[in-house]
Amino acid sequence: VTQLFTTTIVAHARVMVDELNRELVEHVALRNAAAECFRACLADPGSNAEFMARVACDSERETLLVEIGPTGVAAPGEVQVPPPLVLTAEQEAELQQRWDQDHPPVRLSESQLEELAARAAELRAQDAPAEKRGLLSRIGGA
Amino acid sequence: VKRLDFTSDARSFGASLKRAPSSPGGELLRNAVDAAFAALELEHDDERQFRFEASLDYPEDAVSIVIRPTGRTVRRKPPFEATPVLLIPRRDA
Repeated sequence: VTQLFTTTIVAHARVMVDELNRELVEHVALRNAAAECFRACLADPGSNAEFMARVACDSERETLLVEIGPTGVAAPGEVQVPPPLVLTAEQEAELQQRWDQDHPPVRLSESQLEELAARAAELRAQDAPAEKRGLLSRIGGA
Repeated sequence: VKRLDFTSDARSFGASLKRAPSSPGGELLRNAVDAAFAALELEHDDERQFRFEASLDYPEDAVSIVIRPTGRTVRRKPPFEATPVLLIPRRDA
């Protein structure tokens, strides 16, 4: 490792590993670190999404920084397809919990049920169309 | 966002890293931290303590790893060595 090394690589995901190999050819350990970081990004290796990698190593102070992330740019003339969303079990549980909080079960009071039944009967009496009558009879419990 | 945030010296690094989350994203981040630490090319018995700050931002797909020394060292106890004892027979024995 050199005393101070810093580089920034911008490349599309499908060629990022090649670019890392080229740019960090003399720093094998740094290249491995950057490649592992890129793997951890869960980026589709065939994607056209552009990524930026920043690698900085100060061997005197023994400090290392590796950052890789998408720039939000796709290759010109090509459509960027977002990767499929795969939720972990804990993410699913969190979403379910949030849904349950935002959508508490609806419970009608007795008076509301009676009111609905009365309204259904009233509409039935007005000779509603056949499909509506069926719906209303279900609402009214008739 | 998955995070790994811990301090360790070189000798305890493997054990400290193993205590990190083992969910799919966490596993990849752990590998990345492992490779990043190897890039510093330290001796395995290095007693200096390092700070590891790593994050995996999902679904942003961004990874950040920073490793820096804390300035402290973790002194190991020297291995136990038995002190030789000279047994002198009592005169009245």
